[in-house]
Amino acid sequence: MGSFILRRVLALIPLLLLITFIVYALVLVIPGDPARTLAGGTKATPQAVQAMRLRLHLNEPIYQQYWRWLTQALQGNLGKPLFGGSQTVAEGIRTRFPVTLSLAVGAMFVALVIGVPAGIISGIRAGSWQDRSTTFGTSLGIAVPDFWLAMMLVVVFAVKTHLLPATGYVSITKDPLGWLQDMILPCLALGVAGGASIARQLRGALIDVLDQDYIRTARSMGLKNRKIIGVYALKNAATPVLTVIGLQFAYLLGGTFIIEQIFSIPGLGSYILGAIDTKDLPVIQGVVLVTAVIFVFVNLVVDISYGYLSPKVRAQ
Amino acid sequence: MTDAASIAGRVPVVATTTEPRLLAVDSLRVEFAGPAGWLPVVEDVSFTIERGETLGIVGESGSGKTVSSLAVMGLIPKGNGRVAEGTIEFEGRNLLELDADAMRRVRGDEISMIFQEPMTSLNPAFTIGKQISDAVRAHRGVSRSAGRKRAVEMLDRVGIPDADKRVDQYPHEFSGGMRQRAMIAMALSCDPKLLIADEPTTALDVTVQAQILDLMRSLQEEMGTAILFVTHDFGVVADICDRVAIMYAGQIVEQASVAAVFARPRHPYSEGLLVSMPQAARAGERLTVIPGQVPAPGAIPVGCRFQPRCSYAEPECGDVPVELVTIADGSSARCLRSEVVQLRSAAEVLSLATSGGERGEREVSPEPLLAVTGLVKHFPVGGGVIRRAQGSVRAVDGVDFSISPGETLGLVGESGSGKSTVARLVVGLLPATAGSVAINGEETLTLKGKSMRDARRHMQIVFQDPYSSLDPRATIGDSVGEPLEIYENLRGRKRDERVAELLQLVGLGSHVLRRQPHEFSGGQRQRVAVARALALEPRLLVCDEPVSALDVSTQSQVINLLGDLQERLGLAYLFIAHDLSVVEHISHRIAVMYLGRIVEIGPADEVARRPRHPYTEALVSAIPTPDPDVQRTRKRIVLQGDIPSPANPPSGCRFHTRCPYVMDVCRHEDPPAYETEVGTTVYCHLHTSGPVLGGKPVSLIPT
Ligand SMILES: Nc1ncnc2c1ncn2[C@@H]1O[C@H](COP(=O)(O)OP(=O)(O)O)[C@@H](O)[C@H]1O
Ligand code: SF4
Ligand code: SF4
Ligand SMILES: [Mg+2]
Repeated sequence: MGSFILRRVLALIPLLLLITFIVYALVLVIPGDPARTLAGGTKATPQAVQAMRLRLHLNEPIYQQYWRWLTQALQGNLGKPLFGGSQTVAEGIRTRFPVTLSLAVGAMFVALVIGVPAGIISGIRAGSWQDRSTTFGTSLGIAVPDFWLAMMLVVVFAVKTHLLPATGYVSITKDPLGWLQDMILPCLALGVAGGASIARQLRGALIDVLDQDYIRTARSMGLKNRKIIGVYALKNAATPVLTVIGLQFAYLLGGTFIIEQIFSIPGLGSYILGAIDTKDLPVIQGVVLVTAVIFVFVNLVVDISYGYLSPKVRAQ
Repeated sequence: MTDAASIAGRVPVVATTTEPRLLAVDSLRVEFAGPAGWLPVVEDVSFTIERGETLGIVGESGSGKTVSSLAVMGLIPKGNGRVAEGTIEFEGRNLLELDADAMRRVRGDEISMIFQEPMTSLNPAFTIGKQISDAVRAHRGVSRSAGRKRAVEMLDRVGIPDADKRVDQYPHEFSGGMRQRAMIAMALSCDPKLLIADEPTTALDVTVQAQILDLMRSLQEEMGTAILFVTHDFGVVADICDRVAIMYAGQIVEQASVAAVFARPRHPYSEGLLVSMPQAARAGERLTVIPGQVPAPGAIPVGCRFQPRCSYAEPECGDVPVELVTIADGSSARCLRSEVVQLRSAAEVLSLATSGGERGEREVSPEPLLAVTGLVKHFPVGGGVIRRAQGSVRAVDGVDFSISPGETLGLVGESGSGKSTVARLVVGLLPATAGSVAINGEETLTLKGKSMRDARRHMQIVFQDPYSSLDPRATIGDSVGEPLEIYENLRGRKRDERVAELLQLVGLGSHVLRRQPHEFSGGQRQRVAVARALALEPRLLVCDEPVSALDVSTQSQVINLLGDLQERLGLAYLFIAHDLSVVEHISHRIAVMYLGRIVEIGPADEVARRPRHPYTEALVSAIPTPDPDVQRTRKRIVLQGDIPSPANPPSGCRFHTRCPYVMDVCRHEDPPAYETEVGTTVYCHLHTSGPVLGGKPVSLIPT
């Protein structure tokens, strides 16, 4: 298992280099002269444009710029925002990242709590009324957009009943209960669709697995049903579900950006949306880089879990 | 009625008789949900099994063997299946009256089951040891470590080497034969009184089958387990069973001791199964077949269910359902005319073939159609993103043979010996590592583009599983017509006319043009695959295990078809199969492969009847003879272990690790080719060193 993990981690290095290069190359897709655009467009003075060019080293060849940026990024230095504040990009990300991460993890938790039991119930009783009603529910869950769900939740739980706050965020270290109250609605809004996808995938995988010869073997040896489904079937059914969980996590991270806006949560989403408005290149690059690294990391975790679940994958 | 009264009412009965029967199935009827309600698939099935006895259940696929076994296990899928009638008494208890948990406790503990497919019957996500241990722990309240100990003990008992290490391995690290051993270890781990074995050796090589049958026999002697042995192979019945029940279309049609069935079958179906075996016909002649197929549930004839296929049928057979009638010495048959018709015994049937082959005279042209020389295929292994390839699997490692126009070369060997790889290399589905494949004197391995496609047209391939080689959504017309569209640009009515001709040629009417593969039986699908392969009028057909997945009688139908086509079209075949009796029947010459090399090649009856290579001898000896007297007395060689990995073949003679005649020289020197006077070429030191055989058959070695 150890060498399997090492191999997977090493295999990621070329991928990470490629991603960072693409992130950096964002500068190339800025129309016209990037220095002028970033300095304020046609209104910018030649001095300001020149200053911007020097500050971002736009006069150097792209690979040199990239190398400089990469070596600095590796040391945790993502530069300063072009506009406003003395806070560096790295600091800005550091303060906002935990907020976004807790939202994504919370939503994933919601997705699993909904998706796994629902998937199991409909998977082991395919065709029953429990299965049909779960399938109806998951179709609904997938069809409903998360921002719409967010607004409905706000209307019902905040505006009408005042059970939970509509917007806002306190950090978990300051006020754990308040943090929890603030997180419930956004996590629900974000996690329901993921839960529905997980339920669907798990249902399909379980139906497949329960039809396999080895399940018949387990039955023929008199194993208890609970053990057959909970251990023998589930470990095999988990593999395809894991792919969906990995994809869902990526999707959730994207979703946080909108949900953060709706619930006024000060996460990476509001940070990057602000930066996109002002074309604040270092901030955009920094946030995209962090998000990309998380994607890769999540994929690694998914890969390693494949190895754990399937001894055959591990051996390859 | 009080408890005491009910007990009092029963006790005397039990006390006066001996122990209750181990298993008594009576008037069993199992139904499955069809589009128009419940359809019976097993009807009026009754049989018994005594302690320590082996009952065989034989019949073509679809006759209800597995369903009957699953019913005994209480494993008929709920929802779409049900046991509608009958009783299944196990030691006096009716299993059908047990609740779910009580039945669960019987399964695995008192009755257990092994299945046909060792490759898929074990859970890929858990170690072998855990699976056996869990089975033990489901019935005995023992600790994990005690469960593991039992697993090691059982694995050791079924002959897995290094059981204490292999217990922690996963199924994919076991070969097919070892998995079936592990399945047997699991099934016997709680010391059941009855073991149900559903075609446990059908998916295995004959050599491994011989090992598994030996193992089951010796374990049965040790543990006294009764066995219900489901098979479609009469050779296996002769080898291992005491009594046999023959099933057809959901009913038992004959039940008797093995000796009685082989000495005098009482039902025309039993005789039909015997005579349709390739062993029952002279080589090269048409095989006797049972025409048609097992009727589907819902399309069962009113009278005798076998009547549409029975060559002894009279009009009155079709009037009313036929009952199973006891005849003599415990035999029973479900046939109105069983006293009237004189059916042939196994010995009579087999004597037809022992006189040796009279294959049709062939004009041997000096120019071979296909000439293969020095063919090599190495697959790199262990490569990845980071690591470089660490070695290679030498799947084919220097193979030479040729095939004349209109000739059949049979290719046999255990799985893993490289037969399929040779087939793929010959038709160009795989690039060769080295060597030459010439058709009509033209080298094909170096050709490119159009000239390659033109050369390849002369060679087509038919695979084992016709279902996966035909597009399931395409109509038969489209599948068969596709090569015509691509190569000859035939479309529309022109194409359909040609397709209809091809379908006629393989014995299917042109009315099947618009149907889809799933509407066909395995044998019919194989006919479609042959029609498709013939579309471009090839001169050589490569057949990779074309009949291995088929029942005996369907197999005979397809073999006859291939024989007819050869006669009419002058086709040459490279015919691959692991069943030597099939190969012997159809081939003019036979090549035997072991670990990527040919070890013996020559005229079919010499290779199959007077083998000159120890490996060929072992293959021949592993085939069970469908005659209990012969099978139980003849000399047999059971090869030990599995075929070694082609990634690391043994030095010298590759067979030396398993050869019963191994000599010192074999371990480090490649055996040279030895040409015998009967026209075979053998690669074995026995002919040149040691007790020099000098071209004589191996059986002449004194034992
Ligand atoms: N694509 C492949 N990659 C690696 N090994 C292969 C591949 N195809 C076949 N082999 C190996 O080559 C050997 C011979 O295989 P095969 O030609 O299928 O033998 P047979 O037909 O006698 O069963 C086997 O060990 C098999 O695992
Ligand atoms: S009853 Fe008639 S049709 Fe049926 S098996 Fe006997 S002879 Fe054949
Ligand atoms: S060469 Fe030696 S090991 Fe090989 S088959 Fe002949 S006797 Fe056996
Ligand atoms: Mg093969």
